[in-house]
Amino acid sequence: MKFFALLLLLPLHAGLAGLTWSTTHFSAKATQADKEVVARFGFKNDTTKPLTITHLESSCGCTVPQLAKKTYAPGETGEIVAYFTIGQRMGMQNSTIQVATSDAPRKPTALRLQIDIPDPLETSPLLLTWKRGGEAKDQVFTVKAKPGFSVKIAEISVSNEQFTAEIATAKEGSRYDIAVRPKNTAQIGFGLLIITTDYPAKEPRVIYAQLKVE
Amino acid sequence: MKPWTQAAFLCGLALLPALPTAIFHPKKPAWTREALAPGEITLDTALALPDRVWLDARKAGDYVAGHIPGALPLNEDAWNNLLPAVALQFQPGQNLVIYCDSLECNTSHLVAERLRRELGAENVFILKGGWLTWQKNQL
Repeated sequence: MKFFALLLLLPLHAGLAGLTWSTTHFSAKATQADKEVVARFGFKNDTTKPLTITHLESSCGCTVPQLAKKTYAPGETGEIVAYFTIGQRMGMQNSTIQVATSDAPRKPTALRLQIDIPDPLETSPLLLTWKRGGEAKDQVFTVKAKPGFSVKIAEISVSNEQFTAEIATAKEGSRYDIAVRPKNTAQIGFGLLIITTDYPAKEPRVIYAQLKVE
Repeated sequence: MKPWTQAAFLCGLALLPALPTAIFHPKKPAWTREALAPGEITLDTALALPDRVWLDARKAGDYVAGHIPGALPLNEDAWNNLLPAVALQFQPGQNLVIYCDSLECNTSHLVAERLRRELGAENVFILKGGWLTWQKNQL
């Protein structure tokens, strides 16, 4: 019975080792206009001996962890500051920082960052096709800015002169319908519809759609 | 109940939920490092692909220091700047093989996802083991 009770206490004992973290999860929203997101993970040495952080590694080059010093006295607090570079990333970004200490060098703690960089645009369809020998009629490619965003089209072009494209209707900053058609459908052909936007201002996004006569 | 019996009983209790999870969970890790995650292919498979284009998802400095011959850089740090070169040479049916640093790098998967979503590319693969695998095979 005593052994049974001891087994139940094992997980509790394991939790007392090492650093105590204020949080091990960080989540935030960002936009492509932001440069970086800063996450802070506070900790305290709740043990009775000095602890040294022996290993600090990020799963992604996009996240750089920084530490003021490596060794912390009993009762001392510190924090790991993680700098997540937005770059031209989009969507839900997940990265992990592994932290190991001198008392348990092979049992690192995982600090998790989750950064949501929403796509400011809705576009469709990704593929426009025409039948060889069929009617070379207009098809519409739509670009819509999501609520809270204003995105304008700076330029429209096609990679293959077999196709043409022009803005059919526009609600400036929020929606554009682009009419695309092949000049003729006599031959099989492939090209790209290329739409340059004005967002983000520094390195604007380019949207693509595939065009096929098949 | 004797101590060892108690211990065995506790382990048995833990196995009840653990075993089905290990077998059926949709996000279970690979049993061995050789198992392929969805979208991954081995170097041998990649080399056998016709009309193959290599895409290097590592940071710019790593690409400049060395890359698979003919590979185009495409990473999320400079996605808007780098995608045009990939898009303008793209043809339907092309096999795009993306690599990053090694086994632990997730960047290739993120690049693959964006290529499928933004370019409509269908044949997008990730090189298992990345640049490290290429170097080990001394190709």
